[in-house]
Amino acid sequence: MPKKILIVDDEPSMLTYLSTLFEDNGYQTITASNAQEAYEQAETHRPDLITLDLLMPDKTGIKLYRDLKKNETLAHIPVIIVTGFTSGNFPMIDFRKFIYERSIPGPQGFLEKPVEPGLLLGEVKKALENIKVSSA
Amino acid sequence: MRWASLPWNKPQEALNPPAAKIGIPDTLLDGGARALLDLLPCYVSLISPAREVLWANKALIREAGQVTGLPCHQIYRARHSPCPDCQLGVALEQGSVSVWEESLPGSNLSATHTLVQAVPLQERGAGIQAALKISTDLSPFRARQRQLELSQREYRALFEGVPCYISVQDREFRILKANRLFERDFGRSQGRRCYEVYKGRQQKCEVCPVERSFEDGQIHFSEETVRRSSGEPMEMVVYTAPITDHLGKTFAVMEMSTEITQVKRLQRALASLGQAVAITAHSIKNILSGLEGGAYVVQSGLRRGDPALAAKGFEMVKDGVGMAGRLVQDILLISKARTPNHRSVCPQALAAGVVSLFEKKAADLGVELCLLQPEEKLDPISVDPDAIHTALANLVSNGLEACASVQGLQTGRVQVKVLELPEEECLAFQVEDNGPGVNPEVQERLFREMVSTKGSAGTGLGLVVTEKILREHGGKVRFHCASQSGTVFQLVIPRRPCLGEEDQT
Repeated sequence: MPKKILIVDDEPSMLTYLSTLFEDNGYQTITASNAQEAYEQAETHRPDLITLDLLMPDKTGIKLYRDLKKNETLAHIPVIIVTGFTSGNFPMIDFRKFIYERSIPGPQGFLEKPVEPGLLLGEVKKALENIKVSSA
Repeated sequence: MRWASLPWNKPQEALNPPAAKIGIPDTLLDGGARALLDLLPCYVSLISPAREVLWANKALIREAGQVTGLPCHQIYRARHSPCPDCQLGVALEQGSVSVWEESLPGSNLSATHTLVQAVPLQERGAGIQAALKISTDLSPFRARQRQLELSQREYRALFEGVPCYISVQDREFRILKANRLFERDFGRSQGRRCYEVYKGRQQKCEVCPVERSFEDGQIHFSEETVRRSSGEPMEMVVYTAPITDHLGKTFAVMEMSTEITQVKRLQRALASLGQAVAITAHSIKNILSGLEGGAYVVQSGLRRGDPALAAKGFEMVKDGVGMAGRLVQDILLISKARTPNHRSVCPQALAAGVVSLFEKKAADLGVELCLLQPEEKLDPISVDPDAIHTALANLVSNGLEACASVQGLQTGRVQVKVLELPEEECLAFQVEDNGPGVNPEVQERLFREMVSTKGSAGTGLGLVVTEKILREHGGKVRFHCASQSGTVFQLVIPRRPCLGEEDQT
């Protein structure tokens, strides 16, 4: 049974690209373009992995990550952050705070856009294998 | 020292034969007087009314040899005939003491310039019999004086000629002296305070290199933005050096300033360029990755035989190409002078267009945004509508963000007005906010560099671009900041047709 990946990004082209890439590599995909939709999709479909863009309007990516990790039934799902430009125009500080916040476990991967497809697929594979190991 | 101990005084007879022997009456110049005159470090001679030397002291004999009986002009001036400017007459004929300066060209004497005093000598009851000519060597003083004059001239030439503004100031920052360049660009300044002349301030600047040089006696420097008396701002690098008295105490400070406006402009241009290159590189990277993604999706769609997916990918590729085009346009807008693409537009419609664009943003930020303009329709104005739209949008956006940045009691309000300025033959778009205002330090730099008070949220390019657009329209950006609260910006555009001006940079 193919693994299910939930792709969260506010850019439609990114959703198209990542879903095509993942499908071509044997994964099943679901997409969401905002935090609200993503949370609902996660609850409904229980994906095996989530790729998340933090830089969505109003920084809802960060809030979504916290909400996922606080939800007992969703907290175990590995999350790979795929996000834009962290230096420069965006508040880097929030990412740091987010990544190192003790009460919430960190994400399984952290990639900056533009993503290198090989690298992303590698991170996804690794994260999914870790689940297998830990659940076995 | 006793008189007798002087070596040449021993055989008094030999050195100073009785006056009668050399034909001078002892009553005129006795042996004691001659001995005394022999000690003087100056040329002394006794000259007869016929201008012949009757007697000479040692100093003169040492250099000129035996001169008794020779004419005065031959010894002193190496002449064969009497000097036309002979001044001994005052002593010899009028019986008065006279003093003059005499050059001694061609003589055997080491002195080249002397101060001469001629004293008439006479026996009691007789007429004037001789004059005592005492010549003091002035050559060393003359040389030193010439050197002093030269160095004063050099100093003056340096003070006036260097391409720097130089002033000498006292502890109260009063200008004691200023060079020509300084007075040309900053007006009459003697007695006025430095901060008043340079910056139009009422009190001294917070950090002052002059003050520091007074405090520690060292050289200091700083970079300052000042205003010429014409009002034009200029950037300077300022050096201050203490001027000390003979005890080493600083009594004044010399301030030397060099204009570096051009250098700073270049520096800023380079900094902007660097920043622009970084931003551009990043944007290009993003566009490329979009294109790569699009290409991947097209390929995948074709492979799967899914034309809908291929079409989606194609749209992504088209978006990427569009973005690349816009990026190039932005770069061109900032990086080079362009001639505005003039069209005749209604100013009210232009302002309304910008305001409507920001209505949602204003509502989101909780700031009141309104447009106030005259009821009657204003004459159309010839501008590049896209450029002026960009400029006005920058100001409105800044105003909204300024208001939103204060967590105050009052409601933030941004008013946009269109004003006719008939006396200036201009039209103005005015944006007024009741935000926190712009502090004076930022005001100085406002239009010149990437100033941003929005932290990492702003590049600070907005006002630079705005100013550039107005400059290209032959207009200007004016602003007024009402004591700590609120700012009024005006985009002033000339009513007369213009071609815009060349970019300076």
